[in-house]
Amino acid sequence: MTDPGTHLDDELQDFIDGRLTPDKVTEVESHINHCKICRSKIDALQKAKQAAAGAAEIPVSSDLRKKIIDSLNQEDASQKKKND
Amino acid sequence: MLDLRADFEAQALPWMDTLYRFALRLLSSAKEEPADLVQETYLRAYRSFYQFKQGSNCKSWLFQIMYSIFVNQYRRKQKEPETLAFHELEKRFIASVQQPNCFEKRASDVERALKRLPEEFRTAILLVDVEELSYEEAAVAMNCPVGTIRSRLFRARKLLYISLVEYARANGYADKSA
Repeated sequence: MTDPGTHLDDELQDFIDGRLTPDKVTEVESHINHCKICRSKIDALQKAKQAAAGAAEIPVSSDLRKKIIDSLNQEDASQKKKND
Repeated sequence: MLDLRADFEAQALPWMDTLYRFALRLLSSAKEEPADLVQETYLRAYRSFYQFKQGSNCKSWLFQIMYSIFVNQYRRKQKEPETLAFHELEKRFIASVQQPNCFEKRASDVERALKRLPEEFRTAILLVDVEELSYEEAAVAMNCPVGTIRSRLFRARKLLYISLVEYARANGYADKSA
C-alpha cells in the first residue's frame, strides 16, 4: 500500500501509460484521490504526452521519394554487375 | 531480386513520411540534412532486407537502423542542450505543475521544446509519444533496456512540460496570475 504521506513518481507514468497491474491502479487511484500534488503531476504528464502526440505531420518532398528510388535502382544495378 | 525489391518497397516505403519526420526532429542542427539520413536508412535497410523477419514490425526495424546511423555518424557532431540535474528537474517540475493555467501547447512551441530536449530523452519521447511505438519497440530501436526507455520518457515528458509552461509565461500568453 502506498504511504499516504509520500508522493508517487514512476507509478504516475506507468498509470497514464496503462502499464500497472489492476491492484496497482487501484492503489494509485486511491492515493491521487487525496493527494493534490500527485493529481497535478498526473495532469501535467498527460498534457506533455498529448502535446508530443499532437506534434505536426510533416510531409516528405517528392524529391526525396525520387532520391530513394534512384538509390535503390543503383544498388540493384551494382548487385547485378557483381553477379554477372 | 525483383520480388525482394517489390516486397521491400511494399513494406518499407510507406514509412517514408514517418522516418523523415523522425530524422528532422532527431537532428538538432539545421546544418544536417534529414533527407540524407532517410536515404541512408533505406539503402542500409534494403541491403539487409534478407535478414528482416517477415511478419515482424517493419516500422520499428527502420527506426532501429536510422537511430544506429544517427548514433554512429551524426550524434558526435551535434551540440547537445545541457540537461538538468535530477533534483533541479524535480524542483522545476513541481513548480510548473502548480501553475496549470500556464500550460500552452502551441505547435511551434512544442517543436522548439522537443528540439531542446537532450538527445536520448528526445529520442524516447519521439519514438513513444510522437511515433506511437511501444516501450518494447522503442527499446529495440534505441538498443537499450525497456527500463531505460521508461526513465528517459519520464524525464522527457517532465522537461517538455516545464519548457512549455516556462515559455508560455516568458512570452506573456499564459495566465500569469495562476
